[in-house]
Amino acid sequence: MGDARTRAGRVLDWLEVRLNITEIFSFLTNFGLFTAELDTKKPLRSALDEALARPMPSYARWPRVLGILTMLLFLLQCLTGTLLALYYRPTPEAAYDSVRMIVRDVTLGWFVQQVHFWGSALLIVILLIRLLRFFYDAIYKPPRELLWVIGFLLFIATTHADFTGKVMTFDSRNYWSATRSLEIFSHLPVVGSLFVFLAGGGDLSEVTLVRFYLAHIFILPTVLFILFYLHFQGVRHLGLSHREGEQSEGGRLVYHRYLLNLSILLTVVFALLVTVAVLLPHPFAAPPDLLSTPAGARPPWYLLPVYGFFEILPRWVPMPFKGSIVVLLGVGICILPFLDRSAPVQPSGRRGVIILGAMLLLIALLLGVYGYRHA
Amino acid sequence: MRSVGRPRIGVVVGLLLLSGAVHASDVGRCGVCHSDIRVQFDAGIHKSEGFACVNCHGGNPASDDMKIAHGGSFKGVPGRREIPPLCASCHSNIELMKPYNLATDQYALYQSSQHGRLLAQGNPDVAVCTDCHGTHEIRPRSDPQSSVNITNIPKTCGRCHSDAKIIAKYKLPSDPSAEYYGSVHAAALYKAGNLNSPDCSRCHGVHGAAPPGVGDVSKVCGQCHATARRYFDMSPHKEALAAGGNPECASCHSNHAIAPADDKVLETTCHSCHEPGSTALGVATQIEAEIARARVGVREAEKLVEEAEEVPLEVDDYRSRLEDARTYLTEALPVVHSFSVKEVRDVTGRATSISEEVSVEVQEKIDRLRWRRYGLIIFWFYILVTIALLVRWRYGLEKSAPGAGA
Repeated sequence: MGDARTRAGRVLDWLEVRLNITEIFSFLTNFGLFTAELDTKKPLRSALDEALARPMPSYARWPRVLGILTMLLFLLQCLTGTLLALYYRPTPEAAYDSVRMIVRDVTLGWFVQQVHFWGSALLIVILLIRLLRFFYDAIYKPPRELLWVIGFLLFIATTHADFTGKVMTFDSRNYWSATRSLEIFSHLPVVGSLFVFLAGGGDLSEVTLVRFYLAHIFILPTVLFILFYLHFQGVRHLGLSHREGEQSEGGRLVYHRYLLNLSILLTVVFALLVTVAVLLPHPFAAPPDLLSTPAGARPPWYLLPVYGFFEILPRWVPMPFKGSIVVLLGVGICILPFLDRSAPVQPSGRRGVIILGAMLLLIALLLGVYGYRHA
Repeated sequence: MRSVGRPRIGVVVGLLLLSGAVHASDVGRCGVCHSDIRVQFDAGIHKSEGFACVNCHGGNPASDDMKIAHGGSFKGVPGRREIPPLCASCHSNIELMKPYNLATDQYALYQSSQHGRLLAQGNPDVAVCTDCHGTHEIRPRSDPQSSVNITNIPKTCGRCHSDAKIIAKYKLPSDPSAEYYGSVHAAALYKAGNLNSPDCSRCHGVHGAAPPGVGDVSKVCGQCHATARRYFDMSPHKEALAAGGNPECASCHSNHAIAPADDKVLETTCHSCHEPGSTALGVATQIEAEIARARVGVREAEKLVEEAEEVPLEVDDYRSRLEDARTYLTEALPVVHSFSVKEVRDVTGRATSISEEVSVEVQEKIDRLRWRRYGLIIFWFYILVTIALLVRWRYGLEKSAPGAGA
């Protein structure tokens, strides 16, 4: 044991002379693995000792682990996505057949595809829960305004990644679901037109598929990675948020306990993801029939409230008006830190704002149900 | 401007005169007085083929003076008995009809028909050419507005054959048009748009219209339902129905209100002749059961294939095999007319054997996916072991820590 430690220590010393290991460690642990700032001028071990000696809030308690969970789910998506890309062919003629080959003929291809599918849904749900938690605990008050804005952008970018990914399968259900979603997008002023322009038109052509593929495997992951980095950099810089009465403590024990708790949580989440992927496989649909819309082709669930909102208003309300309300609401949520400038931070002092938020959430849920029924 | 205007007026007046002259030489000036008839005539096929009033009615079409116009060869309105020979004067002329590829035996057929025979006996009620084709506005059969277009034939025949007074006078079957509209043939024609589906004339003849005799029914139906007729001729019904003086197909299927050939026909029609508990009814029940069994088998196999496609599993081969099974199911319906359980089973048995084979093989493929669930059990075992180790490690960490419990 002692021999191994010294050997590991010798390797670390050898590397430390040639590379700035502390800098590398600092970068890699940025994403929620280590939440204190490190002095990158010092060797790794002394920098860690120094950081661990400082008091920090009691870690790894619900809901602060959601951040690192989203990051790790993102990495899992990158891994499964890379495996899928080994066989995928992004042309309208070959897309469907290549997906069928992956899930039917490639060994464990079905498993990778199902984990990728459910992982994406889970990632969006957790990002959403995280936003709700930020809202409830007012983690958008100075100096944490940017954490909120980036958290919101992360949510939006992830839904785009999910949307472009669904189009990749090019089957009847997703083809028509995407066609309907593009219709929704086309009614949103400015952002909608921009999206349709970038997508190469309002219908799913070869150009759209190739652009979505590029966005799905390169542009959006890069954007997400940068957003994650900025987000966690901010968290580490400002320190973890803590409520009144929560004690701060320090030391190696606290950190070890945090790592163990995190491992247990990740194991459970991964096991649940695998279980859902095996027991509730998303059914494989028929190839797209460009002349008939199959029953049950509706926009993805995160777009249903918008779809429901468009449908529930009477027909004489002009579409640009409906679209403007949605865009303004989205922008409003994004810049919430600059709109809600009230002083109190504790939930008890912000009852009005929280009730308003809860009502908005309820309306969105009801509109989602309405949209689901009317699709 | 004026110098240019005058020659223009001259041209217009000249053209008008010319068009008048063309008009006069074309169909004559009958339309000056008979404008309503002229409008009808203009919509018909005879006008576009260069025909004129004078060809049927005689007279002098160049004059609009009634005495001159109705003088000379003028025939006026032809009597009902004169109409068929009048139409036949062109329509039986081989040279005239050649370019249109129209049959020239229509007048001969008409004379052989019930309509023609009664007309020859001096009966004024029966249909002559104009009753079906119209008098002046005669349109080609291919024109959807034509009274003899396939979609309008049941209505055209029904004008007399669904008229209560005529039906009572000649003791005709009651309202055949209404019965036809409720039949499977009408559904095929009007709902599915199948123009090969029979109208009245397909079974009764066009110009030689006559009810098929008792012994001829299977020949008439057999023109389309050839396989059904072949099996029927093999069956014990052939002789039995002939001996009893009953029409062949119509005894079970009725004549005009022909119901779809589903399993219900066996349930409802056999009882009308055969006693409950008789051998014949036993055969019918067995045949019904054979077809139902085959149909259920094919449907279940199709469901399994759909389920396998959602996984997805490779099922293209099974899809084409089930297509064969469905073909045998379709084949079984005409075979029913043999009223032989063996003959029916020969066909349904093939459908059943294919669907059973497909079901077993696809089910095996689906069952092979069970290893995924078994794998999940093993996976969870390792997950629980990992969690237990991690929890134990954390417990040990808390205990061994110098400031434990703080």
